[in-house]
Amino acid sequence: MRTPPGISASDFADALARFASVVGKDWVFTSDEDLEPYRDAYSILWNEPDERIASAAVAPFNAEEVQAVMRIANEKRIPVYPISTGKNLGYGGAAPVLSGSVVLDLKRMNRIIEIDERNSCVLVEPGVTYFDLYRHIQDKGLNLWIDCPDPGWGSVIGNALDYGGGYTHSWYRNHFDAHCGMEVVLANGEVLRTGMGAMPNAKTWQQNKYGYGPFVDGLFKQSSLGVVTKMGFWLYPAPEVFISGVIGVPKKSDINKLVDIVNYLENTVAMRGMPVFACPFLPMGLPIPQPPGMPSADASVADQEAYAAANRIPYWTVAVSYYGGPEVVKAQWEYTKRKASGIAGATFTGGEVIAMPPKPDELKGMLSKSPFGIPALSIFSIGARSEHSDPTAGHITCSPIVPRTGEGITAAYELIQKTVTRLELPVTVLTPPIGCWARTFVILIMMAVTHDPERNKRTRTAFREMVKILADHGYGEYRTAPAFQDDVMATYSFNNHALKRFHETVKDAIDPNGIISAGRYGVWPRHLREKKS
Amino acid sequence: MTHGLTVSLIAVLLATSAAAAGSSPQRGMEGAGWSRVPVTGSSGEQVFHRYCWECHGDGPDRPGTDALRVKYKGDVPARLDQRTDLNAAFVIATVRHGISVMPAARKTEISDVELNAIAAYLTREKR
Repeated sequence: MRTPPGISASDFADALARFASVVGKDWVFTSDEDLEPYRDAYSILWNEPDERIASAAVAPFNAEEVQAVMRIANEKRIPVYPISTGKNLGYGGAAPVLSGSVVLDLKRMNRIIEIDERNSCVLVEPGVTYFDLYRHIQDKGLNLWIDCPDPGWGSVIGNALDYGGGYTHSWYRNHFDAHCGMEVVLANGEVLRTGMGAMPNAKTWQQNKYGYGPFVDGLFKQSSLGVVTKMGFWLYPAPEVFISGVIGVPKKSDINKLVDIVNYLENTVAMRGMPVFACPFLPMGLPIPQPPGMPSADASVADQEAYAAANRIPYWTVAVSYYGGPEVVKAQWEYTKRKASGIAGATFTGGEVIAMPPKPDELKGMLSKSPFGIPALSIFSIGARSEHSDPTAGHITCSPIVPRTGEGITAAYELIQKTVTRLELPVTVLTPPIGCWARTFVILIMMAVTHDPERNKRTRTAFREMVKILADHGYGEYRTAPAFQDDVMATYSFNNHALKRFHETVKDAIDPNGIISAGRYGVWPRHLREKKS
Repeated sequence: MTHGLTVSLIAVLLATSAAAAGSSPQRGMEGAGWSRVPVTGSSGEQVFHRYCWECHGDGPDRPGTDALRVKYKGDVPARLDQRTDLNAAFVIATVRHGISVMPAARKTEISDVELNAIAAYLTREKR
């Protein structure tokens, strides 16, 4: 039997027996066989001594059981690592950051507690997946949409807490921002509710985010301060129709005006769907054959623009989309065309009105269901065996936040392309600038994980260098795999790491025994900081 | 107006729409259909549809079915529910250990009872 660091076998056995008295012996896992699925399936440390491995897993059924487990863990100083559905793949999966932690598996807590169609909000537990919530709404016939990320099996709560994003209206596709109210179990087992939920018998817990006094919900984003056992979310009242259109521009430098126009439309609420920028000359990296004769990413701009003109394709495109009533969205598309027509050579396609929800036979002709809040798993074609690529063992992602300007995109891709080439990073996918969150882009630089320790070691070295170079140029990661969480936290270093030191002060105050998610996102409890130094 | 690279990237990567390549999202590629079997219930077929169908179901945009089609090149069906050569121990081991980009499933996600039902369903032709 494995034991947590610093815990004797007899103390651990005693704790496990007490955990079992709370959750039932069937829901305490200690055998190698049962713990195998708690490994990080996409670990860049796979089978190496530093791979992050759980010593046990405990699966409570409700918040009261979470409280009881936390009281025992706090008394016995057992490190615990809460997961919701454990599908944070590429960013740690179901494995703890600190090896030897007990995974607190919240998957059994899968209740949709309350859903309010008239105020468009829901209260869920951590085990509720996007599939669960979508099916619940369909079964009840509610006039509501969810916003989901690509993998539909993830937790609504877990994705929001790790700052995930989706694809519909901008108010909903920032999943943390779309939350309203939390219930959190602290390290000592005490339960608190945030926002209006702090008031007994609150009537508006899922309608007003802020309640009274300081707003503390942010402390539990990417956090090691508590176990979130319930969380409210604002849902999207189902729109009547959807329009998607495409703006194309012929020159590379046209991106500067194009991004400004899209930003203006989005920030004046004239366009609230996710803008999808694309350019055939970005340094991509997907193993898909390019058309013969197409200039590469590092060819001259003149050659690229000439190729685009000769083949009647835009240099840049942006797909813009609109949700709402037909009168409104048709006018918004016309307004968009007028605003963008100032760019010489701009082209406009699409703009057909589609009634919502899309019918099953309409969906068959569509590339993706995500813009309609319909969960799926089709994204896993990336990395799976295909006609163009061998199967991988998963991926890790370098994901810098970059400015929402054309100049910002151009500078970021120049740096990324140069650095990827120099460091020989094994990039499998380099995305276009993704506009899932307002005011910035995120670029995803995905790298294959293998089961070859030497290759993984080279990838880790290059990844760390990439993080540092991006940070030197002002681009910060928004999320990363456990192997790099200290490296990324080290880049948020303004004023001698004042933010990290603040996190540590808060951590020591709220979780003085340092039992919750030690090391998560680069924040370590006092006793482990002292050990490391 | 089409551009292969852009269409493919957006299709597999951003999972948004063909709009980025210059056509409206309602045009172009074939898409996936939803499972026609109810996702509740405890029969092997129902449990298979609840947990496995999204990747191992019918039609395109099914990463599991697509990968197995490439792997076996028609020697055996790409769809697991049409295979007649599977054995239960292999199904269970694959689910509990994962393979390629498919992560292992924990007992809190798919119970032993549910997994046994899946294995029995996928090996029903052999019984």
